[in-house]
Amino acid sequence: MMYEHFDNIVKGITEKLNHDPDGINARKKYVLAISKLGKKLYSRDENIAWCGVTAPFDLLSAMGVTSCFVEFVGAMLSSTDTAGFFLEKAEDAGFATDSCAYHRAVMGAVLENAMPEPDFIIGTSSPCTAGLAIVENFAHQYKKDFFILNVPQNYTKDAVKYLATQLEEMTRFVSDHTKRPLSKQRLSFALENFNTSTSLLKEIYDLARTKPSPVDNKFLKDFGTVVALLMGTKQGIDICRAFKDELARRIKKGLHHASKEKIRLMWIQNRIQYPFPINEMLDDLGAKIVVDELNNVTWEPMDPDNPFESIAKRMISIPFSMGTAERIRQMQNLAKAYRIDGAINPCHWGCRQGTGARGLISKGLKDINVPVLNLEIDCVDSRNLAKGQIETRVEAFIEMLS
Amino acid sequence: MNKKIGFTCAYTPVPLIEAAGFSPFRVFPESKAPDLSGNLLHDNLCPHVKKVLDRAIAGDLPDLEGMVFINSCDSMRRLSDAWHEARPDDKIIFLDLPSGINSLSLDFLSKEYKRLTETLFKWNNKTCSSKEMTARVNNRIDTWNLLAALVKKSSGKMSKAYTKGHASLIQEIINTAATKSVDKALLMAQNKIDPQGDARQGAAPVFLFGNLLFDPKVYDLFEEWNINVTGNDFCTSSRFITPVDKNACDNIFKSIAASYLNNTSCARTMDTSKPGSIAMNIVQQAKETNAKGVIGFTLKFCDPYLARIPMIRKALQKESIPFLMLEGDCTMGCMGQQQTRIEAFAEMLEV
Amino acid sequence: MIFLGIDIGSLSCDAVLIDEKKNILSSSVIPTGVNNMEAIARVKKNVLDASGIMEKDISSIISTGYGRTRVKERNGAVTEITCHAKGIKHMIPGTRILIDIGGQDSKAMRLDPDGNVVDFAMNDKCAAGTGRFLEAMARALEVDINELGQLDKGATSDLVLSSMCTVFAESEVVSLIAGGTGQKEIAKGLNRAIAARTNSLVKRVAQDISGLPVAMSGGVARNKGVVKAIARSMNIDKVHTPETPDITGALGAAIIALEKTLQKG
Repeated sequence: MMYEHFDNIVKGITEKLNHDPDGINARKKYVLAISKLGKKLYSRDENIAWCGVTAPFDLLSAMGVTSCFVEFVGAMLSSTDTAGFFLEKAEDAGFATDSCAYHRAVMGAVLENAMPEPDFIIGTSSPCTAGLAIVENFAHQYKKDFFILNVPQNYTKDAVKYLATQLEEMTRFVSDHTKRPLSKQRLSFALENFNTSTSLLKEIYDLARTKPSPVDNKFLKDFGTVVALLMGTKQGIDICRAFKDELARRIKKGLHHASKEKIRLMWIQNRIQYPFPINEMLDDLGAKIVVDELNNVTWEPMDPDNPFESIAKRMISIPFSMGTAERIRQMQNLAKAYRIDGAINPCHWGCRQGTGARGLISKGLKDINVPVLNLEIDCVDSRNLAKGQIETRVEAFIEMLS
Repeated sequence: MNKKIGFTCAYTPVPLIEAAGFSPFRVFPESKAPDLSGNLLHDNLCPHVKKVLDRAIAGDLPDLEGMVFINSCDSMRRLSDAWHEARPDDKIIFLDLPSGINSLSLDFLSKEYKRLTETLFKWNNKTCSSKEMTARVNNRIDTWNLLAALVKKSSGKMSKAYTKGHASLIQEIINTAATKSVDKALLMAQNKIDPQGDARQGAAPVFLFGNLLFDPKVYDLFEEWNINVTGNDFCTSSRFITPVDKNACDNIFKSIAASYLNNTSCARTMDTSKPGSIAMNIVQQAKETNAKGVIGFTLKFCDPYLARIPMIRKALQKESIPFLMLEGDCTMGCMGQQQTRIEAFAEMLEV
Repeated sequence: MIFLGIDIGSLSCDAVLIDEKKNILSSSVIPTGVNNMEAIARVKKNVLDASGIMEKDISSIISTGYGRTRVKERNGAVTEITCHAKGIKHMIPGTRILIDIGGQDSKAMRLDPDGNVVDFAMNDKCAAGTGRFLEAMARALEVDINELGQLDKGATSDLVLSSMCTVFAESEVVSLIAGGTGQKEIAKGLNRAIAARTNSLVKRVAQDISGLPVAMSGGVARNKGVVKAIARSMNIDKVHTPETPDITGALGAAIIALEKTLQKG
């Protein structure tokens, strides 16, 4: 079922792109690349690894492993409005509704055999305890070997060394399963690709900061988190370049919906995954999400001569891995750089890691005079959505900012 | 009297606190402090973390020289974040705790425990050589191990012949070690760890597991509701009194790390070579203690357990061991709601 | 010998008198009200008056329900879980899955072939899908609780009620009414919501119920719409209900009183 789903998207978008070979079509290319990854995962032609969100996908792709974080599947099921079935299956098996629906949905897919069986599993202790616990369930269910990358929260020399050594060990673990040693050359290429993608990302974010911003409410939706799956590849570079070019073109042509930017907003953590017209609603209200918290470059360039240490530093630098104080500091910087008027925190139900810091985040942004709307919504499970309440809250918030 | 060091997680080795000349003070989530933690964090966090934070916000704490936090789960991380906000003047140390058990993790954790010890010595203005520090740590571990051995021996008797008041007495001793001193707890244990009286007949023998069940009176309720506790696995009981095998590794901090990582089987820690081993561990403990049933008692919103309950349920089912899963805030306040479930479970086991 | 079972629930207080052959001599169901001591006295008087039996002739009393320890004259207290299982064994022999939707909680039980409980699950502490929930919904729909069960007859739409929290569901129902949705469609939506909730409770005790006879006890079993919706949601032909589902717990308690007396010999 999932293979066909991705295949259909790939066919549909390829056809559209063929009709417009000179167009930039950034978002289409991005969806195409992600769907191709999905297709690859479900065709099982290569070695497959299910991973935690902060896993080093560049390193894994250099080792010929098709890898993805499990929450991606939860998000995809939700975006296609099929999560409800899998959530119910997981709940029937005893996975509590108090848990995060990204994880519950994907667990339902595992139980229903709707996931490709991995060759091995790489868990990451960051961003969240629940995510790691779920991939342990994967390993238990599939009876596959399991590797954990422990990502410390304190950014110290010892912590970096510890994680770098674990990454080295992970490459041995992967090689044992793929029967292929790590090629230093391939890793160097992957890291160079990553660096090129990073430079382009910075340019994208610089362009997005422009006032009025050339982005629309959907343009960079969950971009930072998902593009990480591709950044070590040429494809990743192509996509980042397309996004940059599209923004540059919009600015040049003045296509920035300036009239709809009375209010500039920051979205905290992930977006709502199921079809819910919040973007259109914000459009109508003249508000625009100009920045997402996770669309941010927090790392230094990768050093191909010192690959493990630089990947380790990158993993620890991600806001999720650090304490809330550092996360807030980064948000404050974004708020100032993007000159936002307010922020929306969806407070995804069941997320102890991100939502758990709700009060501290509100206070931290209030300290720099940025009001925050806490939506209290499940970003994946739409079954209990109180649409009217959400609409009222968003409208009232925008009215307040206006 | 020694100054106190607060802590909240069973992965905090109490002997290290005492070696630095402090008394341990585990901040239990027992307080009448108003429910304000949701303002700093979120209402859907585990009640342990929320109540402990409520105590901090309300100042419902003794004088503390500092706090030790452990990166054991997301909720604990957020507690540490919020503590900075609630009590900005407190000295705080935050230790990273690996999730997977292997030699690298062990090495890393041993450095974290050493950092904790050095920090605590510094907080107490104790300047001493590394040799002297190690000697003090060793000394406190000896006492700790004596206590751990007594607790283990006495707990072992519960599964053979349960005497009224046994489980609550052991809990009192453990709580004394957590909130007063290991010496005091040892004295209690040496004097009265095995309660007098005949073995209780006719009650259902049940093994308990979960995260936090610290009030000794809870165990009296279990007795009242016709349950004999054959053994338990909580971060306020067996997982807290972790004996340290001093000869496990070549230095004392590594030995401590090895003991805590291997013995303290909280759901947040996993053995990567045996994914899902928590379920088998519980089955094994239930069998070893001759339990006829198992009750899981966990905090609401505890992610590590929420994700493991299905596999635990399945493993127990496979062995035909009846299982009752309860959720609450693990204080006396929530026990009333559980009465019918627990009594019905006991009735079910009696059939 | 005469045995009395009293079931003090949050909504109703029920009593059953039986003889040593488990014949029901009389039974009574009254609202618990705010004073459960008063309700206990009244329900007891009702069954004694109706059967003409004197209190001194009662050999043993077992109480059950959340107020079971409030019955001072009891010889023992047993949870409603065990009592409902015992009662249904007598009323509908062969039941293997028992659903009891009470006033403030709902329960699912798996029984062995002898009628003993081998697993059970209870809903969370909220009132979603319970008798109290139905009362609130009946109030929102402005119908009598007893009419609610028949109200969905002829409903054709597949309305799904998203809120199961009593508070939110009530406001959802109110806004559906305001939006012009018919009473019967809303009633059907409610029944489906309760059925889904109940089904997930049953799944906690038995993943596969094929071949296991399912019965329902408790006052909500009188609500035919809910019972039918539950059967549909579980994909089975029929959920059996006793003629007098309200007294299942009290009957079970009375039978346990009898059995315990016989055991003592």
